[in-house]
Amino acid sequence: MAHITPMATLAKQMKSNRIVVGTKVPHPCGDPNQPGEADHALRREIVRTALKALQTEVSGPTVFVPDISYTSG
Amino acid sequence: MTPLRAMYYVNQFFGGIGGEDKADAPVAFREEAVGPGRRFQELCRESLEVAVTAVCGDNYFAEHQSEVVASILEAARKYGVRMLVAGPAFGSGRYGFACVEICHFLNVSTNIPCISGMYDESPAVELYRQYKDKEFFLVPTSEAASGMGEALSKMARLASRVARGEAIGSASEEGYISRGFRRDSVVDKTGAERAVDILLDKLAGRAFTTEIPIETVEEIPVAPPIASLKDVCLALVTTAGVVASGNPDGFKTNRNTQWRKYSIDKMNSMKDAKWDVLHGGYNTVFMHENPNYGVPLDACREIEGEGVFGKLYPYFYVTPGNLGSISAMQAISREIQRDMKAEGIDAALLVST
Repeated sequence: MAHITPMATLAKQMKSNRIVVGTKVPHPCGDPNQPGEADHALRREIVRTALKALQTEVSGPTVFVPDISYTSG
Repeated sequence: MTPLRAMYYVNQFFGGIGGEDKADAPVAFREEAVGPGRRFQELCRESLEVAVTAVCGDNYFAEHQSEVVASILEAARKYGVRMLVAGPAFGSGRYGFACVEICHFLNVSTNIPCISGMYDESPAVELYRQYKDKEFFLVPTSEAASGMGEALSKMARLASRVARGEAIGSASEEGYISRGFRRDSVVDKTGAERAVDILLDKLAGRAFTTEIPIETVEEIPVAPPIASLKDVCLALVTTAGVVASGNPDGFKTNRNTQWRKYSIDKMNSMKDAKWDVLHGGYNTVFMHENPNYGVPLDACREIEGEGVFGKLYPYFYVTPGNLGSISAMQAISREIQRDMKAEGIDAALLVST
């Protein structure tokens, strides 16, 4: 399982093993303040990072950072 | 002083009925001390009298919990008992859960004090901490039943003091397992001075005792990486609270203890259907407008179409995670995992808000 969450530090404390950094709490997979296409691309990047995390060997809580930039919360 | 009347609870093994083959034995009551209860009775002769022993098979308890606790409550009233003693259960999982559930139920419904003992890494200890009952004390024991003598003396010492109406101090003073209560006490120094003292001790490498211990969470076994996603059935899970329109399953905005799965079969985006968002912990306006933020179906369908992974499971799993207790969430997680295994799901993406 890969865990997409904007609160990666908390997820690490709770011992989640494959953590993928999401955007913001009210919208972990995307950014409503960006134009539709950019928002969608962001969501794709987060999911692709999560799929990569599933294929990566880890030995304990590990944070994967998607290549994301977002405008605001 | 007249000894206080107590009830003792044991499982089928310590009740002398039999081993695993008798784990289905229904609850029965005997008007005497049985098994470990006899030694316990000797140790507390002056302050306590075991008036009745409840014996129940471990599986029977697990499968008929509400019925068993109700009949134990009835017997406690019938025999006029003023204390319940259960176990010790050592490292036994089912027996430990039975002891904690019975003590919790009796303490909550009758206010009588309850004492039990088990290995402090037994899974039921977490439940005891969650229940946080004022007069339920759990004594740490060895993992194996060879520590019976020591476990019973610890339980008997505490039980005798409770029976005599003595004030019971903190977990560290008395040796029972901490429930996480913060007790008021009068000290000479202000909080600021104590904090600086602790910091100086820490910096100097001296021993110090924190006043607010941080809860520790157990490690979760690491799943091996998936070599190839080509044939993988992938499921989506969310704690964002995206539920069927009209909330037909009665989810609450916080402290949920149930989960559901809803169909996303043949949909290309969460926007293809109507959903509600039930969650009291974040601003749900964006999630209402576009539930793909919590269940990234649109992106997953595209990536599925590109052949990156085998297929998307045609339902997503949900519980609104707001204020979920660790034990309730762990129970939900176990049920979802069971369902996933039965459905042949190989991997999951969990989105949490």
